[in-house]
Amino acid sequence: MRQCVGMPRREFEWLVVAALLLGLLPYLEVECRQLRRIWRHRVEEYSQPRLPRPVEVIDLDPSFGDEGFDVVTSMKGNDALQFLRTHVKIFVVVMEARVEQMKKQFRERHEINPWSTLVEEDFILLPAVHPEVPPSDLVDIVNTILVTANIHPVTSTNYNLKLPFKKRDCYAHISHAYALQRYIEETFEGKEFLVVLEDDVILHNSFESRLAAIVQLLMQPTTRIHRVPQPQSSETSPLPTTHSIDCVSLGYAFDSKVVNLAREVRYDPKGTGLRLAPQVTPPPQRSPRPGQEHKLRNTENYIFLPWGAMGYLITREWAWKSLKWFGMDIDDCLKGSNVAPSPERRLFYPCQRHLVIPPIVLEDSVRFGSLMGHNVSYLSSSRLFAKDVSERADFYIPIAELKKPTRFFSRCVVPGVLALTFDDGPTEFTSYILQMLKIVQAKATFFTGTRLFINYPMAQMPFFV
Amino acid sequence: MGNYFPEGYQTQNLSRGGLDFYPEVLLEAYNSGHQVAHHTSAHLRLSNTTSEALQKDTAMLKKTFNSLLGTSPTYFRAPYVGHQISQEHASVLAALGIQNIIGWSVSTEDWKEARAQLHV
Repeated sequence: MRQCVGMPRREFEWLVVAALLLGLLPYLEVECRQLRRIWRHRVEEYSQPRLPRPVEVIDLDPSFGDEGFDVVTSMKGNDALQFLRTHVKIFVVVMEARVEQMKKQFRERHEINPWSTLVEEDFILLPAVHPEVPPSDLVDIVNTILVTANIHPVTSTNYNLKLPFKKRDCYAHISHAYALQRYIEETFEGKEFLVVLEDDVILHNSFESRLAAIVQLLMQPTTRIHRVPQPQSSETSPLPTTHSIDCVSLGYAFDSKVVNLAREVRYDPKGTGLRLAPQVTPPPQRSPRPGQEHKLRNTENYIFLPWGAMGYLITREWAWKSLKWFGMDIDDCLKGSNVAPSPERRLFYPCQRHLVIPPIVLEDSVRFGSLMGHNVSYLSSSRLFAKDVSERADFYIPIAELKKPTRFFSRCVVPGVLALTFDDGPTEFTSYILQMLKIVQAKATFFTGTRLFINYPMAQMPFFV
Repeated sequence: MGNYFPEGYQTQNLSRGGLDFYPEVLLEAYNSGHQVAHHTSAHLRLSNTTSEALQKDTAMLKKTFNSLLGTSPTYFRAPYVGHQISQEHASVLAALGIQNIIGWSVSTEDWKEARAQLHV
């Protein structure tokens, strides 16, 4: 061939090498693209500010009633530690006697649980009880809370904060709470920072009131326990103290927010029939007797997700680890068969503090509910691991509702009754309609969309109904 | 290029509706005890809509509802046709948690007036 072209040998060799390189070029390009992607990822990672750690402000479960803390202390061994670990991330230690009690118990349990990091040295007391922290720091902390939560500056008179949050703004304010957490962690660096939210302080299960409760706790160092009177009307406390919960997810504040959301979904305060809460017999109010072994109530109604599974996305490796711990086979879980973990291990999760889980989305086929051995209703795991909280709320459609047959209505069920409906809203006139409805004291149904243009050119939209 | 509006329509006050424009009004309605419900995000004509499109559309609306109210309603009225929707569409909606599909028995037919106003 070389002779045919009449090319010197050296040049022909170069030509062959060049041709080989040309042939390899697509593969090289792919490699380069991957490298570039990784590089870009790194650059973004480092250029962005560090993600603040989420704050976990979870009261002991309200279904336990007033004796939330006692429930913890009456639990034994790993259960108690695990309960504390998973349900309570931060404590506001409000009573010194209880601190001693907790320390004693944890010292005992430290031998039981080798991976426990909650030892005596890890405790730090909040300014409320800690003598070494000067009051100026306390003021700083409170101010940080308030500034990060966009609250007007606090004077000593307005302790009883009513935070001006709307529900739709909550998600934004959670990130402010992250900033708060970061601040607290930087202040108490290297220490386990515990905040106990007593049930007395919790008004109801909204994020705002929890924040307000923290503020109240911090603002009153002299009165250690501030007992907030329970609101009387149903409007101020929309949630009943005892109600069944579909899911309890453990981990971040996001999770608690989502859990609250799920609670609210099941609850229908206005009687509008948006969602009908199923008839559930309420669990007994009182705590178990001292000798009686404590059991979580309505265990079948709970799902326990591993740490961070909901707040952030879970890695395959992490899921595999926890599965291995449960003694379950991942293949079974991928198939979707229900594998229940052993009851002793059901409550335990091998969690590590402040673990940043990289965002890797599990495949849709991973049925997370069966993965944890509980019957959970959900649509798809991509919803479960969605970044947006409101998307994740889709997770909480009970199976019973999914199985309900679709009902079609073309006239009122109750005879002699008129149902007012307003379509294609809300428009600029809807607020007037609302005023008029208020005058006549009638309730209506508004059928709404997101983007509707009324009086749009007639050729495109012939009529609206 | 964009949309072309004839001369008469430019002077016409083109009113807009929906959660993208008036989310506060929806919140106000919801907080004052009224019921809110799905009407598809883009006012789809269901006879021309595939089930995938309906699923996408309603999921979007549901997301909007969730971000606004924290809940999502289970009631639905199909644009133009009310409760007369196919089984396929109904199953799609049921998978999204919408089991109650509402039609009507009396219509004020105010859309006719809107058209009449336009022609004036």
